[in-house]
Amino acid sequence: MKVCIPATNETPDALVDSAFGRCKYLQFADTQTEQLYYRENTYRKENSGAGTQVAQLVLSEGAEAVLSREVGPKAARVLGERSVDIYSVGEISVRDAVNHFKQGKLKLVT
Amino acid sequence: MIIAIASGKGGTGKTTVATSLALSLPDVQYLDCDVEAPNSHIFLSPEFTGEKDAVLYVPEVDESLCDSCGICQQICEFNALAVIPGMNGNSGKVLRFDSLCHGCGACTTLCPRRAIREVPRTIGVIQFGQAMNQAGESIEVITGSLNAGESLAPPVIREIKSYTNPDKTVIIDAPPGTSCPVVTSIAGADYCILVTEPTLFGLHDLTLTVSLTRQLGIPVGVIINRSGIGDFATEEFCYKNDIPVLLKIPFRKDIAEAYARGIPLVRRHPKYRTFFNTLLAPVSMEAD
Repeated sequence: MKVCIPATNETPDALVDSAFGRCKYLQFADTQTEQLYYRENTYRKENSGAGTQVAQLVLSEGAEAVLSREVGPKAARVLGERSVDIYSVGEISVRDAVNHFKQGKLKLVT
Repeated sequence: MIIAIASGKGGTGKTTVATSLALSLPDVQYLDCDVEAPNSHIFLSPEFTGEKDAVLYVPEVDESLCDSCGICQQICEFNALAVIPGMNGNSGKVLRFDSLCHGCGACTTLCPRRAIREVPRTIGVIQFGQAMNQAGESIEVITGSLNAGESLAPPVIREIKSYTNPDKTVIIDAPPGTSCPVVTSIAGADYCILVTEPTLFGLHDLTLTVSLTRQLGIPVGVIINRSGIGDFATEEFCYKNDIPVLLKIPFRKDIAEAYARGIPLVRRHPKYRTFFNTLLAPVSMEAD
């Protein structure tokens, strides 16, 4: 299963970004193979609607869950169209977020 | 002649000046363009006789014609559309985010399948009424208000301004600041009265507003309200920049008290009527 984590840099030690739409990087993790790849968030400088655009990127990458500090209502609406689950995480690293997800420790928001 | 009353800083006395001006002059049309906090009715006490919805035209997608090409989403400057392509037997879908859409019409015009039409979305209300000036003559009052939760003031302001009657003395009560709602309100005015207070904050925002009116090519004059507080830097600024100081309203308890009771300045102190009556004489010379 592929999950998406907004991150402050491109490494697994990066903190989960405090923003979703305006995060610096989007990391994608395969929970079976533990493989990670990242995309730079080119939408973070948009004047408005960054979250809806990032949410569409998440859909087009085929992620099935988002592990994030917060997701705004407009982005959540886009993610909801393809039933992408949103999990709430604290101020932890991307690696820990993925591990907590696999251990079922994360709270499902929607 | 169209006179806009503006200020950079909020709460400097725009409505005090605008309503007193309206009450002192004959044949006035009063446009309250401060649609996020219209308050001229408190001072003019108009009788409202009609109202209509202020609408924004927003896109509606006919999903039977849409092939999810994504062009509408790409060209939208405000990211107000999200195209969800069809997947696993689900059909495609276009989501519209009303809080982001400015109603520019680009998506409707550029959709290659002509799958988009524009539908009205109510974002505010325009009210029409009549008030009475100090001489007992009628003032035409048009005021608008943006619905709670809406963020786009300019379309409501444009709708109010579409009723501008250039045969009358049109008084535009503008919102504070220097952003889009202010530009929309004062654009096309023959003259702009900038109301300020003689403080550092007042001067800072006055400086910005002067720069805005210069870019719009509108001649300006300044009214200093709460004169007596602060310092003389505002007057120095006006002098150095060749901006006439039209009037100084002193910082006095009786004036503030009348304001708090919703009593217009010229009604509390009729002597100001002379000021406001003659105020426009040099103004009309400059506007010509």
